[in-house]
Amino acid sequence: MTEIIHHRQANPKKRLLRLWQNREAVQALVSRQFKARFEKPIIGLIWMLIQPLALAGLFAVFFGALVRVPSGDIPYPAFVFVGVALWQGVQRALSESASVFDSSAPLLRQTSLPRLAPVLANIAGAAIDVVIALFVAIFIGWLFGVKIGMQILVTPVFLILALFTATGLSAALGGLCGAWRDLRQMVPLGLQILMFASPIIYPSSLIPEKFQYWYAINPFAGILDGLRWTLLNGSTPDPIALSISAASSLVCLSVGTWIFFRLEGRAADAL
Amino acid sequence: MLCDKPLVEVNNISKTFLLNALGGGRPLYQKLGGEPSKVRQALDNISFKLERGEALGIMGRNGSGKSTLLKILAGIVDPTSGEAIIRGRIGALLEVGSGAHPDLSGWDNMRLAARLLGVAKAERQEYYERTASFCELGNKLSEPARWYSSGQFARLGFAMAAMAPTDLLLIDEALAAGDMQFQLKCFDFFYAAKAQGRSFIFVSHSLPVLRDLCEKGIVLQGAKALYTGDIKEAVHSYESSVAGN
Repeated sequence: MTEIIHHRQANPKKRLLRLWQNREAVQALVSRQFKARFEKPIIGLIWMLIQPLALAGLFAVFFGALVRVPSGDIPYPAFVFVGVALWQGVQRALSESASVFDSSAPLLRQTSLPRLAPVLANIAGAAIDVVIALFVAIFIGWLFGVKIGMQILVTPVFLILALFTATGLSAALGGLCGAWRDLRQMVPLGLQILMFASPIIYPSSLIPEKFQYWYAINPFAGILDGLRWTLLNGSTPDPIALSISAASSLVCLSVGTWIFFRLEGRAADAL
Repeated sequence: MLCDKPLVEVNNISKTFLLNALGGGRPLYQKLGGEPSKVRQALDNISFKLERGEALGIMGRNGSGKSTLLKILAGIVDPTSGEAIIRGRIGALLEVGSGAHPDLSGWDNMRLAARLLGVAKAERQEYYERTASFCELGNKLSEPARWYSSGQFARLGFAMAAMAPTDLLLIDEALAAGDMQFQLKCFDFFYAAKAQGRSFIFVSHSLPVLRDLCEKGIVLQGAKALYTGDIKEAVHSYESSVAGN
């Protein structure tokens, strides 16, 4: 027999437990994301890829051909596509999660669904997009003559770090914007800043040597360097910088979820 | 065993809401600007117990805190202080057709509801069939719920919550939207389910219905419990409090 106790400010451990007890409901929300994408596979794929392809094409013309941003041994179009492929997913997950208390109001106002569940579903949806776009990135690399090495097997490590980071940031944004609505107006600006703070259109080697470890505090620095290493045979990332990014990604996950758990009650009061 | 203890135990629950201009969360600039937050007390020190197989009726005027109390029991809103202990599975119908998501089809709504309400895997097929036959929506079930009429939406929500094997069902004026025939069907369901030991908490303005279905009653007035106890006494005290004003 389950005993359910509702009282003030349930602690993170209890929130996680409730999430675990409702894992099947989370699964149902996640499989909805799959279904929405693959019900009509061809059209779904076109919609999924048209944005990163177009954006990467624009960047390739402006920053690759005209500004001539260096991209090491990797041809710039393939280089920038990996960045854009990941960024599109992150951006989508973060902006959807910022308004999760609006978009999922019918569920959150009426059912005992753990409030983090729709955030996790957003992440899962975005993750599908990213993984598919990264397959295309390998293909683009191949078109430009990139040879893939054994390091491709390490790719999941970087995908998991990306998942942790995106989950932490999404949870934090969801909680903050749910509790204080006016913050949502800052989300697009924040996303722009994060994009330029990450090696998406430029390589992290562009950052001066003495700032490299500071730069690596942004988890996306290590993640993107890693993905370009595994998928496009880019230069091997610096292990210390990589460890900093990995640690920062874990901090992001735990602090972000903690922020969500602290603020979700307040956000639910406003539903 | 937990079964010896009451199904529901509510101990000194209070709830205050922060009020603000935006209608949503409190704007951060108010907090940073040091503006004192305006608060509204929705519930003040509410306690009661409910045994298995019993039904409780909550009555009170608009804004007396009835819906907030149900939301706390359902785990949708957190209480500011106090605790609510529920020893069993809870289902809730808090708004007309609640629990149904407009973007999902009827079937998808049922699949989600089955998981949220803890219907065991082996019982799910049966749950879908019973829900479908109770709500009588037929082919409509494959359409997104936003295409339903409000009555059909209400029927789906009711059937999904009622057919799940929950120990406690919370119902907030959920019968208002269905047609007469469906309402009668719901009453039959209530009596049958109570006989099986399921419990209910109703919020309603329909006093005869409450007197008919419930053993216990609570009268809320201005966030406080005016009376807690036998349903007949509760209805009487509510009627005289309204007449007194």
